[in-house]
Amino acid sequence: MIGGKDSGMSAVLHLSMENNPPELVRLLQKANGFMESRSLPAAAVYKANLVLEEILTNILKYAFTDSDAHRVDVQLALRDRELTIQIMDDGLEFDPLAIPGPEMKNSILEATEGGLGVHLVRQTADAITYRRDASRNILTMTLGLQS
Amino acid sequence: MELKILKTDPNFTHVALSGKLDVEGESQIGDEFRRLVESHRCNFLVDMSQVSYLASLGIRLLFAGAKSLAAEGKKLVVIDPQQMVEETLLNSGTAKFIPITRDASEAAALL
Repeated sequence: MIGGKDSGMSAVLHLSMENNPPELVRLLQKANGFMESRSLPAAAVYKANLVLEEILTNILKYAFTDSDAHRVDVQLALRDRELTIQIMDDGLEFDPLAIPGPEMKNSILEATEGGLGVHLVRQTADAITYRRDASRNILTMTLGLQS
Repeated sequence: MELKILKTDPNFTHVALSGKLDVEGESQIGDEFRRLVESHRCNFLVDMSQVSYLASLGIRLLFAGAKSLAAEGKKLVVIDPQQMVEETLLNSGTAKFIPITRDASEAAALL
């Protein structure tokens, strides 16, 4: 499901997917088409793909405890020199900002890669906010569009 | 995503990855990579100059390989990642355990 609005220097794309991997691939393709059609800098497209893939993959893996189909909504909003990505799902309550960062270990033998995806998102996005609203997780990430 | 063995040596195995190391890419080469690490049990040089994208699943693949090799005193070294891929490695915190080098000579010197 796709919807969009375009107005000069701003544009909004609404996407939806069901909670399965082929839908994730399709959504990322649509998101890339949107970003590339507006000639976003390559670095911004890379970062957008990274945060989208990490968060959506986590939703697919952990958000739902049943085998039902669930809808995940994604909005990409391009305005001024920022790309804002909002991801909304009705899965288990999950605030990625509340997850502690990875423990710094001196030896790789003691290190683990738990929480890596969320850590990468926090390192990549310029700003992140989370809220829970009427049984929905709403995660908003902002990426600057400097070349 | 493709994996190619460039060179095998008693001291190291030199492989090259190309493409996107995302969920789909990892599913394409992950098993082969793990099998190589498990079977060769030597230092690993991973040329990533042709990897255009790296997600956490790809980092986990490299990290797991590096950790497995470290248990035997061996290293996994990355060679010549593209700028955004290198930035992702640095942001992940794994560059501390997986050295990033510019070429095979520099990588071999770390072994």
